[in-house]
Amino acid sequence: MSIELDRRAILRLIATGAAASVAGCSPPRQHIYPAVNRPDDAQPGTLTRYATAIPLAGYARGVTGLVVDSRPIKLEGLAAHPASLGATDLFNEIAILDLYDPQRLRTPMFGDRPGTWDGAARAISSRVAARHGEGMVLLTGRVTSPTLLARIAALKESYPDLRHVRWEAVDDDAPIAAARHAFGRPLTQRPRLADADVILTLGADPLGPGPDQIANGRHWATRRRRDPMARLYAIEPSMTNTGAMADRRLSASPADLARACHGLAAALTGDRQAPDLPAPLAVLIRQAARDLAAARGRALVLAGDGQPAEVHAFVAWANSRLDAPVDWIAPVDPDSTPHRESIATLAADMRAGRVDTLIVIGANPVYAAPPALGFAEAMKRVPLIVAAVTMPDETSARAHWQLPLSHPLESWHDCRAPDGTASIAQPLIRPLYDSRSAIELVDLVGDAAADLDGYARVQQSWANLGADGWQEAVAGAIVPNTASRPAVVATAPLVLPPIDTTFGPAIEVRVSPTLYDGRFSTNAWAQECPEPLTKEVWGSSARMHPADMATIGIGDGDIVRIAQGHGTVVVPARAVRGQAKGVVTLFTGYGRRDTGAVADKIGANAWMLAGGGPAHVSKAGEHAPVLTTQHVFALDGELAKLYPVLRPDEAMAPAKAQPTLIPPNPPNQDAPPQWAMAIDTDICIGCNACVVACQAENNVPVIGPDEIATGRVMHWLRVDRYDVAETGAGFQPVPCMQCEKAPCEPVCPVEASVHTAEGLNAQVYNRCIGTRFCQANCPYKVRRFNFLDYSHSSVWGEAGDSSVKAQRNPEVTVRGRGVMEKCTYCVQRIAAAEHDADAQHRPVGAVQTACAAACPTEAITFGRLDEDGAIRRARANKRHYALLGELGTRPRTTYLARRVNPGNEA
Amino acid sequence: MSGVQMRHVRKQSPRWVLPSVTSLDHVTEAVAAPMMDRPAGPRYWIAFATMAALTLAGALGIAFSLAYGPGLWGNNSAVVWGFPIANYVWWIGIGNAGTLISSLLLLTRQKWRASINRAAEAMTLFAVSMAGIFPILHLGRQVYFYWLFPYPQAMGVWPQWRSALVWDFWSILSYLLFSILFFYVGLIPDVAALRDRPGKRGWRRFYGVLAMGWQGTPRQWRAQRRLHSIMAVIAVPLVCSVHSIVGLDFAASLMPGWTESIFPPYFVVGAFFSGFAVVVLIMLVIRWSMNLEGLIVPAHFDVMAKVILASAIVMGSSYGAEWFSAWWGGERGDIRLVVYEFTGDYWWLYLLMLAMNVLAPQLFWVAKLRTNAWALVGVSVGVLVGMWLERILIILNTLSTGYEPSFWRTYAPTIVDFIILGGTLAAFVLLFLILARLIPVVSMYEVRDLLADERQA
Amino acid sequence: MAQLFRPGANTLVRAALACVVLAPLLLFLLGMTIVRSGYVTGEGRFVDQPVPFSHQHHAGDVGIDCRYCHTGVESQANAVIPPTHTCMTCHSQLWTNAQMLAPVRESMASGKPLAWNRVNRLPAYVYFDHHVHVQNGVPCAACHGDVRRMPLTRQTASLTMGWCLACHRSPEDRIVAPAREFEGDPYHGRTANDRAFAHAVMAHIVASGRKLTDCTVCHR
Repeated sequence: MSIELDRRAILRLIATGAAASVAGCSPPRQHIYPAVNRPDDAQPGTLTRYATAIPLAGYARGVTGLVVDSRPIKLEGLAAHPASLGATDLFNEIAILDLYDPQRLRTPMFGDRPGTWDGAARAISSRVAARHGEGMVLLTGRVTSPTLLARIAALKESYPDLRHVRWEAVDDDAPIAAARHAFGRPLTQRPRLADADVILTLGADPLGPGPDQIANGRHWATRRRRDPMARLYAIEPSMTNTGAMADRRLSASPADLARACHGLAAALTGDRQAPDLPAPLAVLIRQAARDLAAARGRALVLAGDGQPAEVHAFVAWANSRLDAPVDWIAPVDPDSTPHRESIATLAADMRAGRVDTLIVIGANPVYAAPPALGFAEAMKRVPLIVAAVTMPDETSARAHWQLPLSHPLESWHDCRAPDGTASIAQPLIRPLYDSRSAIELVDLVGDAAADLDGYARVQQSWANLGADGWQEAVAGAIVPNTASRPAVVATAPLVLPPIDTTFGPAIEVRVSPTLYDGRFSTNAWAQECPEPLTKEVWGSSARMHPADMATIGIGDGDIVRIAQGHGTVVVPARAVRGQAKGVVTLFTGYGRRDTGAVADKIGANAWMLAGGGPAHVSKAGEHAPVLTTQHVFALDGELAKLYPVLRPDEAMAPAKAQPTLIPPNPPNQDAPPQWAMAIDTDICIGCNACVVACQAENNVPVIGPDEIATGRVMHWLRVDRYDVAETGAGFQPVPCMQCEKAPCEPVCPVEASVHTAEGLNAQVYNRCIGTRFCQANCPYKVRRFNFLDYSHSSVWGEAGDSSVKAQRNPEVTVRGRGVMEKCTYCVQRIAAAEHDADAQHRPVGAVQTACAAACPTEAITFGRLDEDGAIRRARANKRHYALLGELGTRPRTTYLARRVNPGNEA
Repeated sequence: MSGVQMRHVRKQSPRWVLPSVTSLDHVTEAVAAPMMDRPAGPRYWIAFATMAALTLAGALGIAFSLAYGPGLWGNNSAVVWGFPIANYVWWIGIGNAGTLISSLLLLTRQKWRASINRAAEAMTLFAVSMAGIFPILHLGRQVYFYWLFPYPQAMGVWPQWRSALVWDFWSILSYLLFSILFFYVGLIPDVAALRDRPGKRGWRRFYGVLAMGWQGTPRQWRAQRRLHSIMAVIAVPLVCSVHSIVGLDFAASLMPGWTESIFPPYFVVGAFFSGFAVVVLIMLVIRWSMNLEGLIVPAHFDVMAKVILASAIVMGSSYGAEWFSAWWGGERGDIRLVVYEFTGDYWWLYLLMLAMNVLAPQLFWVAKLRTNAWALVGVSVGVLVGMWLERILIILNTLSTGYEPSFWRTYAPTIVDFIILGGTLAAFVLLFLILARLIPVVSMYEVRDLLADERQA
Repeated sequence: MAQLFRPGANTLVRAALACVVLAPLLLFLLGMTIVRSGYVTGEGRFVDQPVPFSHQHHAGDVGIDCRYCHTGVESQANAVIPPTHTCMTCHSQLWTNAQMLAPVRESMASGKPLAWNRVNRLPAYVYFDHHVHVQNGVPCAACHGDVRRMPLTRQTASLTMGWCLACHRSPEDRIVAPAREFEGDPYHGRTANDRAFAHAVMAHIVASGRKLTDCTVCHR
C-alpha cells in the first residue's frame, strides 16, 4: 500500500526534523502540526515496516523499509527474498541516502533552464510521431522488470522502428558467450555455494560487490559453519574479499591464470601435458585438483566476470566434469546481445547520424563506456537527447533535456532477482520532487498526454495474480514461484584459454566495493565507507606489486600516469598485499564530473582503461597518497593475539582470570535481560554492510575528506583488516565492547559514561562535556568525538543538507559539537522492545541491532547472556575469545576466531 | 632534598647582600625607587606593547576555539588530547615551584630566599592563572564546565568522584585561592612601607587600601609572621598534592606509558624543575632591568643552578625508572611504548627532550657556569622547552600507539594550537611587566632582616 | 602630613571584605532559586493556542475520554495530538459557525494543519514513552495535572530532570490502579487497589532487572 503524504508535509517534517535536532531546554516556541486527516495505520511516531525491493544493475533485492511519520529512514533485509535472505549489503544500506540526497535533480531542465514535463514530452513526441520512431533509440540499463519490458514492447508496437538498447558497464558478456559456446545457448551459471566442499576461484569474487553478494555470502557461510570444514582456493590477479577469506591463495597475472587453467585441465584429465607453471602455482594447482577431484559432486570452480570468455568456457567444462553444484538458468535479462556490442553499435549509429532522438534512462555511457567509442563526441551528432536521471551525471550534462527520475522507493515498479524471482515493489513515500519513474517515462515517450499511473501499469502486468495474490505479492514484495527453473545442459567441451604473453603490465578494472560502477559515487556514505582491503576513503589508487613500483622508480603513494589505447588516468599508486606482479588494479566509480559536490574530482575514471590491451605506467608526480582510515595491517609479535587464526580443529587457549579492584558491575549480573554480542571473524567477509547500517540507524554524520585527513573518523563500528598467513587477510568488526569493567566509566568527571543494569555501557550525550578522557582511556578506541559541529555541517556543497535531515532516526539524539558518542547496541531498539513489553506486560522479545540485522553471513549475532541462545552457544564455542581480554575489561562483545584450512600441503 | 643543597650553600656562608648596600633604608630605596619615582623607560613600553599584542592574538585563538570547537586543533580520534592538556600540566608545574621555593625555604629558615620569594610567588600566581585556562578550554562543551562543581543541580545528578579530573578541578581552584592569599600576606608590610613613603597621594591611597591599616606594631608583626609560616606549612603538602593529582590524570588509566605508579612524585619533581628554571630567568631580568645587583647576588644563582642540576639528575633517573619498569614488568604494551619513544614518529622530539632535561643541566657541574648569565639563560630555557616536550610526549606517545594497531594515528598540531600557547606565554610576561610597576618585586622587609642578620654576623 | 583615609575607611573595608565572602554565596543561592522557578522551567505556564481549546469543557463538563483524542496514549510512545478530522467529528454538527472554531474549519477545508503550541516541552534528547507509563499505573495527572479543571491548558509540572528522577527513584506511591489512571485527581484518597497494583508493578520492575534510574531509560 502507498502512503498518504503530500510534499508540503515532507518539507514540514524536514523542518521539524531540523528543529528537533537542536538540543536545548526551552526554545522560544514549538509548534505541533497534527495531520488534518490521518489514515488509521499511520500513528505519528510509530515505526512501520513495509516490504519492497530495490534494483542493483537491474536485479531486484528485497528490502524492508522502516518508515516513521511517512518517511522511510532505514532499509533492512527481507527474509523471504532470495537475493536478500533478511540481510543487506552496502548498496542496499546506502540507497536510503540517495532518496534524500540534496544533489538530486528536482525539476526537468532544458539546457540549464528549468523546463516542464509537458515541454519535454512534446519535444519527444513531435519527433517520434513523425517517423514511427525511426532514428529513435531508448537506452537503458539492464531491464528485468516485466512491466517495463511490457511497456517498451507496447511502445515498439506503435513505433516499430524505435530501438531499445540496454547496456551495463559491468557486463556479463564473457560468461554468456562461454555458455553459448558450451551449450549452444545463452545461460547463466548459478553456483550453489552452500553445497560446495571445495571451491577454486579463478579471479572470481563471489563474496565481493554485486547483486549476488548477500546470497553468496550467506550460502558460503552456511557451508563454512558445517564440519568438516570446507576449503577455498583462490587464484586471482589482485586480492578480493573472497581471496582474503581463502584458505590457500595465490596471486597470478592473466597469463599465469591461463596457465593455471591448462595445469588444472592436465591434473583433472590426467592425460594431458601440464604446461610449466611457476613453482608455487604448480603446487597449489596440484593440491586444488586433488581436493576438487576428491570432492566430486561437491567441488566447484568459479571464474570472475572480468575473465575472458575462454576461462569461463574452461570453468564450464571443469564444473561439468566435477559434476559441480551449479544450476544453469536462462538469463534473467531477456536481451542477451553482448553489452559491449550493443553500446558500440549505438555509438557507431550516432556517429553515422542514424540516431535523431536518444532517450537515456538510468544509464551513463559518457562516463562508463569504453573510451574508444568516443561516446560523448558521437552524442554531438544527435539532434535531441533526453536523459532521465535521479542524480545529474556526465551523460545528462550533455543532454538537451534532463528529466528527474524517481528513486525506486518513490515509485511503483517490479523487477527480478538474479535467480529470476519477481518482486513487486511498492513506494514508501510520494516522490519528493517532480519526478517520474522509468515506467511512466516510457509511457510518456509513446504519448505525451498519457495519464501516468505506475500503480495501474504494474498491477495490469500482474493481473493474473488476482486480487488476493496481488495483495500478498505486494505485502511480501515477492511473487511466489517465479524463480527460473534450472536448465538441463549437456557436458561442456574442454576449452583452454590462450596464454597471452604480451609485454607490459596488464590492467585490471574492478567493480568498486563501495561505489559499484559509479552509480553510487554521489553517495556520501559510500564515499566515506572504507574500501575493505586498503581502507581507502574519498579516493582510489592504482594497486601495484612493490616490485613493479620499484622498476618504474615510484614509492607508495606517488602519482602515476597509466596510458592504454585511448584512455589515460593519473592516480596515486599503492603497494598492496596479494597483488600479482605485472598487474595494475583500479576501481571503478571515481573520476566523476558534472555530478555535484560529493563525487566530482575524486580519483580517476578507471573505465578509461577498460578497453583491454597492454598499458604503459610512468611516474607522473609527487607523493600524494589517498586517505585511509587504517595504516597498520600487519600483526607482528604479541599483536598477533588481536586476531587469532586457528587450524580447523584448533581451540583458543583458555583466558586466565584477571585480578581487579573495580567492583563488579552491572550489580545484578544475572537479572535479565543482559545484552551481549558475538562476532564470528571466520565468516566476516568485510562487506561493510554493518558499518553503514550503523551509520543510517544512529544518525552518524559524514565528516568529509578534510576531517579524515586530520585523523578523525565518526563510524561507530569499524571493520579492522589484518594480514592472515602469508597471502590472506581477515576482517574484524569492532563496535563498542560494552565492557563490564569499562575503563571509560571511572574517568568521566560528569558520569556521562555509565553502566546500565542490563550490561550496556551507555553514553549520555546531553551530559557529556567533552573531556575525551573516556576515549583516551579506551583500549579499543571505539569512541567518536564531535570535534566540530558535524551533524549541522554539510558535505553536499551549496545543495545544503536540509533534505538529508529527513533520513535521521527520530529515536536517536543528533549529537552536537563537543560531545563524545559511541555504539550502545542500538539502545533505542532495546528501549522500544522493553517499553512495549512492559506496556503489554509480557517478557522482552528479541532485539536485533542494525549491524546484526545487516550482516549477510550472520557473522554478527546479538542477544541475551541470560538465556540459552546464539550468544551462549557462541561463548561455549572453542573458538571464542575476548578482544584484549587480558586487560580485565570483561567485554560483552566477544569474538570467534578466524580459521584457515590449508589442508595437506604436501 | 632541596634542603640538602641549601645547607651545603650555608656552610660557605656567603654574603647574600653586597657591601654596596649600606643601610636598611637603602634596601627600601633600591627596590621602591625605580618602581615609584622613575618613569618606565622605552624598553619597558616596547616589551609591554609586544606582549600585549601577542596576548591579544592568543585571546583570538581562544575565541575561535570557543566558537568553532576543538576541531581547530590538531587532536584526532585517537590522540584526543593535545596541546591544551600539555600546556596545562606545564604551566601548573611552573606555578608549583614558586610556592615550594618560598614556603620550603621559609620553613628551612633559608634567609637568602628573601630577595627571590616575592617574584617566585608572583610567578606562581600568574602561572596558575595561565594553567587554569586550559582544563576548561580543552572541553568540548566549555559552557558546561561548572558541571564539575558539586552543586544541587535541577538535573539531580552529581560529578563523579572517581574521576581524576574532578580532583584536578578542586586542586587548581584551592591552589589558586591559596597562592593569592599567601602572596598577599607576604606583601602587606611592603605595601605599608610604600604607603608611608612620600609620593603621589593617589598611589599612596592605593597602597593604603592594600596595607589594610598595617602599622608595623610588634603585635602585627608577630601575627603576620605566624600566619605566614603557618601558610607555608600548609603550602608544601598542598603543592605536592596538586601536582600528584595532575600526575594521576594519567596514572589512573590503563594505557601503556600512563599507568605508572611513579607518575605523581615524578610530576612534582618535574614541576620543581621547570619552576626553578623560570625563577632563574625572572631573577636575571629583574636584576638587570631594575639594577638590583646589590640584592640579587651571584650566590643566589649558584644555589638555584645547583637545585636545577639536582632535579635534572632526579628527572633522568625517573626516565630510567620508566624504561626499567617496562622491561622488568615485561608488559608487552609498555615495552612497545618505550621502543616507540625512541624509534616512533616522535623520536627526535623525545631525544631533544632528554638532551634538554637531563644533559644540558649537567653543565652546572662547572662552578663558573652556575654564575654565568648566558649559561643560566641557555640551560633554563632548555629545561622549559624540555619539560614542555615531556608533557606533550607523555600524551602523544601513548595515544598514538594504543592497543589497537588499526587505530594508530600520529598527531600534528595546528597554527591555532601554537597561537594559544604563545598567547599564554605573552600574557604571563605581560602580567609581570604590570606587576613590576605596581608592587615591589623584591620583598623589602625580608631583605632588611637578612641585611640586619649579616651586619650582626 | 595629611591622613590618607578618613576614620570611616576601616568600616568600609570591613564591609567590603564581608561582601567578598558573602556575594558569591548569595549569587549562588539566587541562581539555584531561579533555575527552579517557573520562569525557567515553565511550570504553571499557560500557552495561548490558535483555538482556545478548553479541556475543562471537553474532558470535564462534556466528559469526553482522554483517549478519544489522544489515541496513542495506551499503545505507543507518542500520545498523539488529534488530527483536525477528530475535532470535526463533533464540530461538523455543533457550533458549526462559531467564530472561535473558524481556524478548525479553515484547516479542514484547506488541508492545512492547525499549528498548536506545545505546552509540555521536553528537550530533544529526552525520550518519553506514554504507553509504558499509562499501562503501568502512572496516571495522566501525574505529569499533566487535572486537565479537567483547565480552561486553557497549563504546564503543571516543572519537567526538570530532578522532577522526573524523584518519581523514578520511588515510583511506588505515584502508581494507581489501572481503573483510575484517567481520573483528574487520582492521588486523592489512594485505595487498596492502587497500593496492590503499585506493589505488583514494583515487583515486576525488580524481577525484570530493569533500573528506572538508568540513563538509557530516557536518554539515547
